[in-house]
Amino acid sequence: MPQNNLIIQASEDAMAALDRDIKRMGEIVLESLQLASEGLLTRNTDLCNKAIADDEEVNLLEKKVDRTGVEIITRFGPVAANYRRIIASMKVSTVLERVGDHAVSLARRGRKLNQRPPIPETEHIRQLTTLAAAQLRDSIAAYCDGQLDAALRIQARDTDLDQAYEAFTQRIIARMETDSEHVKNYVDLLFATRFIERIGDQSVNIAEDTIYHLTAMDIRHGGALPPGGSSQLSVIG
Amino acid sequence: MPDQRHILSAVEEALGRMNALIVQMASMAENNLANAIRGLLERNEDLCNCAIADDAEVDALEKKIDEEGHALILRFSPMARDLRRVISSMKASTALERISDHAVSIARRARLLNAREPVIETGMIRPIYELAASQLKRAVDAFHHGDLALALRIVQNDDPLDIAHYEFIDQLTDTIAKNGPQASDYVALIFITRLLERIGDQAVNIAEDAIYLLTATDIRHGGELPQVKA
Repeated sequence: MPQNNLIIQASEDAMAALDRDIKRMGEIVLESLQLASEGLLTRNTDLCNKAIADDEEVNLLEKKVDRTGVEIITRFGPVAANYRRIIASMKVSTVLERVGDHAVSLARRGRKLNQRPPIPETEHIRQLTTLAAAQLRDSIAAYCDGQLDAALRIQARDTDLDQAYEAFTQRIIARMETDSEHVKNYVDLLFATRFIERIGDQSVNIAEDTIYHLTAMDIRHGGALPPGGSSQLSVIG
Repeated sequence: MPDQRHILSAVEEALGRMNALIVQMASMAENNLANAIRGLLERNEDLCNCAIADDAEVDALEKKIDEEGHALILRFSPMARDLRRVISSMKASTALERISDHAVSIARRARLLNAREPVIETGMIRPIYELAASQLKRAVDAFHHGDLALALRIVQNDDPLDIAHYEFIDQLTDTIAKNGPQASDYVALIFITRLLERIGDQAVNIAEDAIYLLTATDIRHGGELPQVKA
């Protein structure tokens, strides 16, 4: 029936638009994270400013994804994997918007640090950003490409980032105890590293949303994987 | 043909259940925050542990609210305001879960502080907590009672908490420069202050969810505010 085909086409178009918007959000926030950390590491305030300015598009896309999601639910009454993809998109877009906010916060700390004489500890941000950016990139790819195995691996990787964060924080606090001249810098670095650590947590959230979309399982807050562990998880319609 | 009235009352009932879950979740999150702060101010380890342990119930409620929401959408295909109520409840529950997580982080920092000599600046946390807690309580009220005017006031006026938080962090930063050996205590206080400010932001998110529910307007990120009828 042509009428039916038209409806199916319209619904598929709307779903494709949702996917495109999430992908675009992912690209922008990844770039902003890179810009902000490069801006901080190379003392290039222009890069920090670009990260701050680019966030506006992420904010608009977050609202657009919600609008599209609610519209698809209302017009087409999707079920099963299609329904879960819409819910997951709305959740992932919220997470990506927050990642964008953290990139902005990182850039703002970068601007402050760039105005004061450099301190050698700043360099450690590089390792943390590398870990966080890789984790974020892979969680976004897992969501966009529907890769269950990749999504399941994100959580374990976040432990490395947490440990690196903890070690760096302790180091900064130890410096503060003796180097009273640069306390403002150290506080900015503490916040900078905190934002990066939060981006790691948000990658884990994206991976959880991916797993919900693909398997209908809600594994948040230590929710159980099926008996037999992740090898028993399967993608369902 | 199914009885139309029967379906209506089933939807009403499911929506009512979701609302009750949000209220329950909010009071638990508020309680966890209060325990964490009292644990800090009164140097009471038990209260800190309580805030940390009770968070699991808030987590479970977040998942339960999502489950109820999905079941409601898939069974009844709610429209307009009913659908917005489900979507905004799911969003508000995410915000409440974060708030309770922040309470846990505060409790963990408090435990570290309680294990060391007291620092006089800890008392300064109280007024900042009071600002955050009052913002949270009002946001939950606005959501629960559908009070648009209140929700709008919260969105337009989160400056006092913002300002208090910046001022206190600046003060603590200066204190570290003078009193290096206690840097880790002051850093703990800086993070606690920051967490309280984040809780205020989450309260604003809940107020935004209430506005979306009531008016179908998405005012996030500087979106235009709906007009309130006198």
